Amino acid sequence: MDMLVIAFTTTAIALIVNIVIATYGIFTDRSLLKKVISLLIFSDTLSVFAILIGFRIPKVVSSPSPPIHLDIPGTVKDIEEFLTRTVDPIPQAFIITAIVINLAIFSFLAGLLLQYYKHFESLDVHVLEEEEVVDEVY
Amino acid sequence: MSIGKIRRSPLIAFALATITLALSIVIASGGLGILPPKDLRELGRTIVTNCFNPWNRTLTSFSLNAVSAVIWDYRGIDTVFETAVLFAGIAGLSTLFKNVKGLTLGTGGGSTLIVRRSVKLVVLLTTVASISIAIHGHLTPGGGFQGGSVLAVITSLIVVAYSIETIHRLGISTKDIMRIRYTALLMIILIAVIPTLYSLTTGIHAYLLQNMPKDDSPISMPTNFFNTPLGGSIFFFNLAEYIAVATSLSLVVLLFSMRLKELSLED
Repeated sequence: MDMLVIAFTTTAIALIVNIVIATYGIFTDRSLLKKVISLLIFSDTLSVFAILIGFRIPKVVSSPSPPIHLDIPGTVKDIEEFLTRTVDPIPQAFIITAIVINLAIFSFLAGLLLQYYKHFESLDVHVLEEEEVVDEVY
Repeated sequence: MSIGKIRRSPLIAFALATITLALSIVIASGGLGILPPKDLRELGRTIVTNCFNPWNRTLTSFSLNAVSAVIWDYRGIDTVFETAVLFAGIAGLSTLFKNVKGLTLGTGGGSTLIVRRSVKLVVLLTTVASISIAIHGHLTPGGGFQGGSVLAVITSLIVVAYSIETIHRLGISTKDIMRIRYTALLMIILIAVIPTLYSLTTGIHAYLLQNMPKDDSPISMPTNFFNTPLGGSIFFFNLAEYIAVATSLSLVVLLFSMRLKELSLED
């Protein structure tokens, strides 16, 4: 197996482990802030994953280039040459869309957390539950 | 089930281990193709071929940057909805802060003289850089969103180095920012419906969000600005998106930099 293939596969598996750890954080952490941070790690790992899939090592030239023409192509040959070395633009376009949507969601979540903290003076998920238990005991 | 029990549950550990193992096996056995791929996928190949291709006028977008071409031309409706989601998110956020007391105009000292002077310089440079990133979005790496995020940094810089009161002393309130945001959003919608409006008045067939001429519609947005490619509507969309994102993020910064006592509810 080629070293490059092994390196890429290892990176992809490492990203999956990262996703699973983030899922664990979302499920089990008591602090809402840490839950949100886990969610952020989850979505950012997915973004890196998509970029990794869009990457490519061209056959002809050794290093790939971003999907941007450096000059205005003068002939059809220029476009064909550009095709031999550029990476896939579609995952990049998806990810910029995903980042904007993440930004909207996370700023809203942060606002919700601020309101939660103002109300309960804690970011613990179980603060309500514990208050009820205390009421029952006394 | 309490949180401690969830944390120690063998079922969770088993489920997470299974997910990791299953996905790893799928990737290691080439479920996503061989990583890294050597060739472009078919869709990517089509877009890279056509993003700037004067020899295929019905499919090209006259944008040197293929990513911008995908964002605002080939998948334009997707991005319009993405901007709508950003709008809805920030609208929800400002609703959360609706009944708070708001700014209690204090003195707001800010940082030392050295920091304040250097921030003045950096603000100037950042503004120029952000405009450049936004209006060259179809030529170089960048675009409306990237430029807008850079411009929003200025707001946080001023809040940190001066104070939040400085922003209000400059005459910028959250209501003004909201108004600019609405205008930018309307601009995006207007640019999207210009071909349709044109077709209604002249009777020539045209599509929503149309950029370059299609087989059954000869209408086209401007392709060149003197000798520079303009990418049709991509340039105008980037400009509108730049304003929309910059104001949205500035609003978030202003809302989150309120002091805790200003955040308490109105009596």
